[in-house]
Amino acid sequence: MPQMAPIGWLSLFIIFSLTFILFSMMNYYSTIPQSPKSQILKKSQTNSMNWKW
Amino acid sequence: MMTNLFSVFDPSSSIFNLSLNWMSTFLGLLLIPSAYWLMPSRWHIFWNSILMTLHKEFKTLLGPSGHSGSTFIFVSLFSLILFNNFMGLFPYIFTSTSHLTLTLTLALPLWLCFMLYGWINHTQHMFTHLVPQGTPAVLMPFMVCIETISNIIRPGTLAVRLAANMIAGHLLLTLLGNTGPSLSFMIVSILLIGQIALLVLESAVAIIQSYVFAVLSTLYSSEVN
Repeated sequence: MPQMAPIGWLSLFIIFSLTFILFSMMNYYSTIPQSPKSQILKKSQTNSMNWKW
Repeated sequence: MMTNLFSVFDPSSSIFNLSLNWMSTFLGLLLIPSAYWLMPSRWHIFWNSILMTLHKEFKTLLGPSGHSGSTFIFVSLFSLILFNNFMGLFPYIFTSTSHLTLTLTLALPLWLCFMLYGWINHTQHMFTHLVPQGTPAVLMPFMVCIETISNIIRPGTLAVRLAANMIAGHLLLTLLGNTGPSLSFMIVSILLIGQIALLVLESAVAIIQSYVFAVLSTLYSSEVN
């Protein structure tokens, strides 16, 4: 097959393994896992004051 | 004649006789949302929800013996195969997963790693896995034989299943399309509607096959421990 001739299977194997590793890296850094949220939200006392230095 | 039939899969995108077809494998890398920004965009949220659903599913499959982060490789495997399968449906984009080179590259090292790890570190466990639960004592020799053979052909089946599914759909579409120029106008419109339906089926098959590949490798890895 003509497209298999210039590059051998070994280099294709290395290229695809590196592609897999690249995909893994992209997915690892782009996932934002959800941390479990607490059911009871503790709302601390807030006094609303006018802003001043 | 057989090489002629499959010669539709020989891509013609070559610059200076250097075939750049395999560069379509990297297309998925451009589509995965990059993590440069703090606030997630809509694409981020969508991709994240897909990955989290898969993560929960694989974690269930791996059972209590799965360590933290053990689903990660299977989720990224799913994303690689999904993008390659799906992009191949668009015109002029090479389907890299329809070639045994890519599928064997993915399947063989995974299976080999699981087998080597299992047989070297948990030899007793691997031997007990050769006999499924609840087999009568009479059938045990045959079950060992069958399970050994099924174990050995696993990388082959993983690779060939994916490649054959991808090739079959494309081949069907190509064969239907090749008859187009010799038909009348009415039949050509029916042919086009049929081809569009096949394309929808092919997109479903692309997603399903990538899922099957990932799930099966999860199962194979969970058997080891």
